[in-house]
Amino acid sequence: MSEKVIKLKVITPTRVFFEGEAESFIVKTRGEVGEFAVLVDHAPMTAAVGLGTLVINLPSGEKKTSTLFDGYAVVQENTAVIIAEAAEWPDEIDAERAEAAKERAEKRLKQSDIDFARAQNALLRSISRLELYKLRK
Amino acid sequence: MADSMRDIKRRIKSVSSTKQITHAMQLVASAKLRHARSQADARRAYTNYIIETMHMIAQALENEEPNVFLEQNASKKDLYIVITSDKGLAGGFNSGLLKFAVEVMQQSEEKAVAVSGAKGLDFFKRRNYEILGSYIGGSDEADFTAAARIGKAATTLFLEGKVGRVYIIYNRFVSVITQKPTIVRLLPLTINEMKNKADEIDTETANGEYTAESGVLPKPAQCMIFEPNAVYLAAKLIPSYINNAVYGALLESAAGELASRRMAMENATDNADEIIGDLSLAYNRARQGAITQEITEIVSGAEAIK
Repeated sequence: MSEKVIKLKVITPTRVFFEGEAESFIVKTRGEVGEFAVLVDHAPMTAAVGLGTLVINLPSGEKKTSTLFDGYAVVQENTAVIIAEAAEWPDEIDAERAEAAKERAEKRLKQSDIDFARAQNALLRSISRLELYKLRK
Repeated sequence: MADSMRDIKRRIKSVSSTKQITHAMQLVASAKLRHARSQADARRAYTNYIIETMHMIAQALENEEPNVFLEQNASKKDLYIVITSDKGLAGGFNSGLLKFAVEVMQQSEEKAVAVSGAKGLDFFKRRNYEILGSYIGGSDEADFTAAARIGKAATTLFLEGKVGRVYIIYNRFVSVITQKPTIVRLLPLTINEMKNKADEIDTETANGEYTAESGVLPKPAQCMIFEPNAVYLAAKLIPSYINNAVYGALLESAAGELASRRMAMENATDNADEIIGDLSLAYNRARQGAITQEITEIVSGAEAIK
């Protein structure tokens, strides 16, 4: 494969979630700017990241997938930093809790007197978590 | 004599059990303090990047239209987010902060508070302040979700025009023995302020407290692509900056509370030791007195028989 790699760092308020080299990474987010992939030698870019998943392709050919919620990606000279409010690996996901949150959010979306954006956000979060949880198996 | 001996003994017992409690609280506080400080260290990397990104976007924004977060709105009301602790027994931790808060709030024509911590909530309720929000539970273990909730509520009030300015008042963790009441304005931000925030990184490094590396992001290139655009990014970045600032304040306050409690409990334990020492002395004296008296009685009784 190519010689060059991207130095990727994923940071959340509570920890440095990922730090290492990657061949490329894909940010799949819902509701905001959509999906984008960053390969080696990408032009300098700052992009918003919504609610969704992150796929990191490691130089070894391995693939790592995680959830990724709300933040930005800054890409410059093969260095990428993703700042997110939260991120989890599949084995850190509490499926039962996510399922409960999904049901709750769906129920709330049917009512009229609610904070629509908030319920929708909760729904998107739980869907991303559940999807990733299924991938684990 | 026998009565006073029993009294002293009872007091020694009660002081010892108090000492056990204060000593246990001291140990718990030191253990939690270590955890709080490592959390604060973990946050620094995140803060660092957020501030650098803000700096970069601020430069891009200069020629753009003004942003709602950057402008003062019509409301004259100032919102003060006050971070206190849920529990007492932490020395002057809360009283010092609340005194400071009341003092700085005098500058506002109209004011309202949002309080974290049961102690602060009681204080402002009793004084009939307008309370726009409160958060209780876990003042000694800051978590980001709680911070985000407080931050979001404040941002919403600001965007709806219900409050004109948002400040946060908290105890800054200076060292294990000092906490300093501090006030920081969160909203509205100005572009200049956004730029100055970048300097915060350097000042903290100078204090030797800052461990996370800074300046990792290269200087923004002229041709930086903003996806979808700089205005949108700023509108997204500022709320998360605010959440992060609230989280930082909660962390500092938690560390401060624990440090302050540890100190207070250490003093209480030392005091208990001193009291036990004094009481033991008094007890031994009373015991010796009783023995002497008994001997005197026996001797004088024997004398009488002669």
